[in-house]
Amino acid sequence: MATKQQSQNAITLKGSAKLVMDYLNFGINSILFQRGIYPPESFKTEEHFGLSILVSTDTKIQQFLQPVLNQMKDWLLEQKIQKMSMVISNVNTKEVMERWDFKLQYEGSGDSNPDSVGNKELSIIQKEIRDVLRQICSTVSFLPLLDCPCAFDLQIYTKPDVDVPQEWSETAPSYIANSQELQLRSFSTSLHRMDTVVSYKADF
Amino acid sequence: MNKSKDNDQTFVIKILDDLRSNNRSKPLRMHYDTSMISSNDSLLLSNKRRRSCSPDLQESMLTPVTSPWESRRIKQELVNARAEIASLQERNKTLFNLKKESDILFEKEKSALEHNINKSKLMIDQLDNRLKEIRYEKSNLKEENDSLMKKLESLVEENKRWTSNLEKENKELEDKLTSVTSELTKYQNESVSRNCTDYELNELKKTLRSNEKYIEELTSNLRKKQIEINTLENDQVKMNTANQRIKCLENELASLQENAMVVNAQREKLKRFNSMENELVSLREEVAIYRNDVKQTEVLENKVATLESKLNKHELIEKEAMQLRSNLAVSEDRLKAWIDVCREVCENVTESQCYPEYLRYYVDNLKKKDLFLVNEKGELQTNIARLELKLKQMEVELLKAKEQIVIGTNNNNKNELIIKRLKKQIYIITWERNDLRELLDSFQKEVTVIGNINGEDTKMEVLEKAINGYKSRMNQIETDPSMYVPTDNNKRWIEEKNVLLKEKEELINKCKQLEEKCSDLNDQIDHRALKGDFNLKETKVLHYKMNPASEGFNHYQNELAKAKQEIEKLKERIKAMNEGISMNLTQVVDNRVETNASQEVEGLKEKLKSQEIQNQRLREVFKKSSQEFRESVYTLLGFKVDGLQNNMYRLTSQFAFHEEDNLMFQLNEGSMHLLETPFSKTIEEMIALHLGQQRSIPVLLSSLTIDLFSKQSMIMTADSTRLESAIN
Repeated sequence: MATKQQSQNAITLKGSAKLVMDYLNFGINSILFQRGIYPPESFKTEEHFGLSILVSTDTKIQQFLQPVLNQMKDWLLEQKIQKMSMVISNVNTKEVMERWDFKLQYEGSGDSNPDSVGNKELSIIQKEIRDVLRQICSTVSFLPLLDCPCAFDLQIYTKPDVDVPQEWSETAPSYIANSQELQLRSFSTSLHRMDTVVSYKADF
Repeated sequence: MNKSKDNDQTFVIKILDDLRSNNRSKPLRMHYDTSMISSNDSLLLSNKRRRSCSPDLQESMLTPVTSPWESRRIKQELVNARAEIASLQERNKTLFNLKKESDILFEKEKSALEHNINKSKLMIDQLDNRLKEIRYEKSNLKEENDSLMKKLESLVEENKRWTSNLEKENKELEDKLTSVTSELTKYQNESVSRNCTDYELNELKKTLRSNEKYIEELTSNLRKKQIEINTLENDQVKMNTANQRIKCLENELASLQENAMVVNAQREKLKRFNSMENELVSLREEVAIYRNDVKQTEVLENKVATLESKLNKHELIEKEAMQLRSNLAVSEDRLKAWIDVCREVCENVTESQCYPEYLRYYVDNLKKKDLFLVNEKGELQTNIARLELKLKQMEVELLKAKEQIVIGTNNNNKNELIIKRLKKQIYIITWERNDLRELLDSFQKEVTVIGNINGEDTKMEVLEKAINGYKSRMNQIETDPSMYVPTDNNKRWIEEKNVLLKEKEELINKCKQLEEKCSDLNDQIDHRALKGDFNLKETKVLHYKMNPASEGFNHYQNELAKAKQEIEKLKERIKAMNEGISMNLTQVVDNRVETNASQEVEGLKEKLKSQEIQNQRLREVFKKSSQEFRESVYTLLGFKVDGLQNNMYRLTSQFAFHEEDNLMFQLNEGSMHLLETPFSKTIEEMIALHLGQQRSIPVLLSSLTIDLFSKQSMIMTADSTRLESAIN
């Protein structure tokens, strides 16, 4: 009985990875909407985690996000990812305007055993994720206005022994001169812990 | 009559003047004029005579008649006079007729002369007009000439520049061509082993072909230019002929004006001509004599110069001879001195034995002795040094011993002090012991005397007090270092303890500092992690290639390029519109933009430059390597191989006596053929043996090398033997 109880309430490694990827997907989408990188007409509202989240309907973005997130999920299961940065840069000057860091920590047993199981209830995890997503939406109030044509890129910080597929390539890390940082709330699935930090160009 | 005469004379003078100005048929008219003057003079004379006659007549009429004889005589005279008068009148008439005739003649002559004058005036006018025309023509031609000359000069300069440029280019291209052809031949030789060079060779050939085409174009241009130059030269020649014509005309004019004068002068000169010819002949003879003289003097001067040079040489030789003589004398003196020295040094030697060898032998002996002595001296010196070292060591030991003595005395003093203190303590302890014994005795007495509990309590208290007093005293002794007797062990222990305590404190401080640092660094790491820093060694930053940012950048770049192109087009359009082109505006603009595609041109230029640099480097490398190859061949095989044109090779042996001693080979359809040279004629036997029978060039070459080497070494040995014999 006790084991059954545990299995019902607990979360598997795959489930944890899926949750993390869902969080990233909705986080990225809401950042794209909130920061006005793509026109608001190209977004539609969807219900996730008990929140109405705006998701881009732009096929190009979807075509970009889907393979990236799938690949990330694989790496996540292999515990290869250290963090993921969403870099928003000026198209004309290539200057980095904003960087969203999603830092990952591996909790639990520490090995990449696919059968490892967490001990946290799904509802609590979802609540935590909801809180972070809300916080992302509220950052618009203090982040500086992006008054230039911008584009975004996803940089994944992995361990050096990772296999790089053909569609992927190594790149230089992006830094913001005179940056200011804000640490958002973090959530944990008891297998993965996600810290979200936004760095932005400080106005002087 | 007089008036007419005056008129006549002025008229004649006028005619004379006119004729002088005209300068034609002068001598004839002069003759005529003089005749005219003479006839007039005769007329004048006759008139005078007539005048002189008339006063005589009047006198005879006036005189009175006195006698018949006289009257007869007078009548006779009168008749005579009348006859004379009649004859005179007749004569007068005839004279008058004559005068009339002469007048008519004169008139005729005059009219003829006037006619002549008019004719000559007309002629003059015509000539003037012609002169004017010619002058005008001349000025026109001069202007034309100047302009044409300027044009011609400019054209010639241009052509010269063109030709010089073309020639330069031509030369450069020819140089290039030659270099390229030479390279080509070299490359062809190496083409089998090098495929990459093959490729370059093809490229070079292409460039060569293009260069050749360019050369052809240039040559055709040159020809055109030369044709132009020729036409221009023809023009110039025409101009020159025109100028010459003008000059001829001018000269004609001058000759027309001066001809008469010249003729006069010429006549006078003609008179002198014979004498001048004679003079000329004599002068020529003189000149011939002088020329002979000059030649002779030159010959003599040459002789003098050669003799002087010979004299100088002889003088030099004389000087040298003098110097040699003096040197000889000096060396003889020296020799004598040496012999003397030899005799002095080597006592048992006769004069005949006084050779340098003997002296050398003697000196060698001396040197050997000297060396032996030096060795002995060295050994002795080393002995001395060893002894000195020992002495120093002994001194050092002495000093150490002294120091030890001092330390020992110090220790003694300390020990004495310690002994004193110990004695004091012993004294105190004995005193205390005695005191305690007394106390015990008193206690025993008291116990025996009193023997109750209260008394015991008080005694106990007293005893406790005493014990406390002892304890305090012990403490005193412990704390007071003067009372404490230090032992060596204790001291060391305490010192070590102190040192360790200090170390511990230091370590604690360090630990605290490090902890602070650690926390600082942790803070910094956190901050940096927030800023996006990460460990470069343990991370890889990956991104999806087809990300929106890179797409956006590419899109932006494309748009920028397009916009730039459009701007250029619009600029060209504005230019074209400013220039007033309205037809086919867009086409014109497109053409211009295409031609102005400077970026492409620059890119191509850069490529060309890099290619040229590569070519040059290849050339340098090739030169270097070929030089090395040739040198190594020369040192290894003993033959200098020079590749000439037409697949010819010139081989010069290392041991050749002259540079001209070389063999020529020609590569023909894969086989080498020996060509005849002056040197090859001298080794016909060898050629017949090795080429004719053995059919091997390497054998020929090696045997030639051995032959030459043996010859040269023979000469060397012969030289050396000669030298040796000379020495002996």
